[in-house]
Amino acid sequence: MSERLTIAGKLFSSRLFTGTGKFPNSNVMQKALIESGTELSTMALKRVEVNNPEDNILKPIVDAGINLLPNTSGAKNAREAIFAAQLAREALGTNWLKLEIHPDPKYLMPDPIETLKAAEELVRQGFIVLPYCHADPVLCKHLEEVGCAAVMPLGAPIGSNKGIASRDFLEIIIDQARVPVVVDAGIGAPSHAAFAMEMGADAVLVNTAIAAARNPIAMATAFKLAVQSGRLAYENGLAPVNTQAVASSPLTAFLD
Amino acid sequence: MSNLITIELNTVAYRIERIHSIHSFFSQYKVDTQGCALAMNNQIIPRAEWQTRGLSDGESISLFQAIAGG
Repeated sequence: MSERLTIAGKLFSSRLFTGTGKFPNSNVMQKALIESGTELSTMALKRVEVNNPEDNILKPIVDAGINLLPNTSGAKNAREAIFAAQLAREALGTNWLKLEIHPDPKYLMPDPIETLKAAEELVRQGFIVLPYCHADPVLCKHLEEVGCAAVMPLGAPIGSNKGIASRDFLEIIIDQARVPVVVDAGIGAPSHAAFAMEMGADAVLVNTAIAAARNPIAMATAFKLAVQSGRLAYENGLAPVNTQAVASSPLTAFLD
Repeated sequence: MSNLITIELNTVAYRIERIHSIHSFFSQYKVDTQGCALAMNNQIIPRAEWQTRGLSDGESISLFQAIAGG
């Protein structure tokens, strides 16, 4: 049994956080989320289209007993993100927040300056802030210092499925963080998730790789196992990497 | 003074009676507001105030809901 994760005093048995976007329908989404074992799922907020209402996204998530993590997607600066956060708190009755600010829709790179500004203000307003950010060790330290409950550095660009491209920087972030590190974005395969967990990430956030799989429900299982496996490996000490061969069997030299 | 006023809900115009509160407007026009948050002039109006907040001619309501996202 792995150690449990605590964020802002809340205990999590699962270290796999999930997004709710891009699933073929809400029935598949609910089944996949349940199968993943996730206890925290993100969602976005948008203006209601009065004459063309969306499916109720909340009911399948709440019915499955999963905690809500609204995001500020669509915010291009700190002011918009703070407004989105306040709307999310009013709409969903939670002060947990995935803070994300990306001014450029092409690469969806998080804006570090606006994110730090918004994080500081939102913490002051009582939000539990989990900021999506670059894998920048200095930025992550600043976000921690202004009171973020965790940091969520990217593995690779959102939806790119490129894996842990930011490896060298994530290692530094994990080494010096005093809040949980959740690797968010870019995780495209269970092996990427396992790798992040083996490195010592406290959790991963996965959306596209599960939702866009041929069978999202089975892929959710694959990610659940990968995250558990990676964490177990981290907790139990991976053997050191060597350049030179080190024999696993005794070299008895019986042929001499 | 006319008893009818024009308001906008997320860019859709409604011609309604002046007497409406936010709450009674949603009730009469059967707008589902479960899990929604509301803002007017970029100020959030808490749900608890919807019963008492009246509507004036030309006002715009922005109503937001949760949707799927990562």
